[in-house]
Amino acid sequence: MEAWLDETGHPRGTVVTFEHMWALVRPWYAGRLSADWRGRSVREAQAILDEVGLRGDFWALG
Amino acid sequence: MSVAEPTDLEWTVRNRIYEAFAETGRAPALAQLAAVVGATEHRIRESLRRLYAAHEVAPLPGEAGVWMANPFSGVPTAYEVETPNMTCYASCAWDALGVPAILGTDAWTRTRCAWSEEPLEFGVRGGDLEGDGGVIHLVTPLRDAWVDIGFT
Repeated sequence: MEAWLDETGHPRGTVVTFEHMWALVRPWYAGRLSADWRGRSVREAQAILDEVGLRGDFWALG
Repeated sequence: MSVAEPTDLEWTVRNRIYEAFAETGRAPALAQLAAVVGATEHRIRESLRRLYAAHEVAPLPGEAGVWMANPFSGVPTAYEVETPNMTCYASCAWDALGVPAILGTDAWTRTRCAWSEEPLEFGVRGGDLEGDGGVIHLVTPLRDAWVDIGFT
């Protein structure tokens, strides 16, 4: 990955496994096809990230 | 200039966009949206501006249509996702897994590793995550995700 970062000039972000991402996307996208969807507050979204263990500055929404 | 909050019309537009993606894998055209919700195309463009400000939907450059309604992309990407009922595009690896999550179905993605360019497959089969493994590298901190959603 170091070579890819050097080649593309992209800053180093963060790395997650597919398993961890699958754990996130299920609650993250829950309810979004409901006719009652009216968005999600920053606090609600942050709580989802916290719940699946994605914490720290990279994952901070506010 | 500030953008107005979404009204009931915006949420209706937003829901019609998501319905179209979920059913067909494709974004509805502005004219289709205008006809379905009974508004002008000019008003639909205004709705897309409001929905972008609310971090719900991203319009194409020039407001020519719908670019993204995450996890779906209205334009082809490197993440083609096949579901039992349709094929769609996801905006990124995160969203490639977002497709089976939002639809509650199996879905399979064929792409290439951004680093090695080797073919990479992953997805959900029988409700379980399967695939080639590896990791997802995210560049943009989440608080900045909608500053340049195309890059994100």
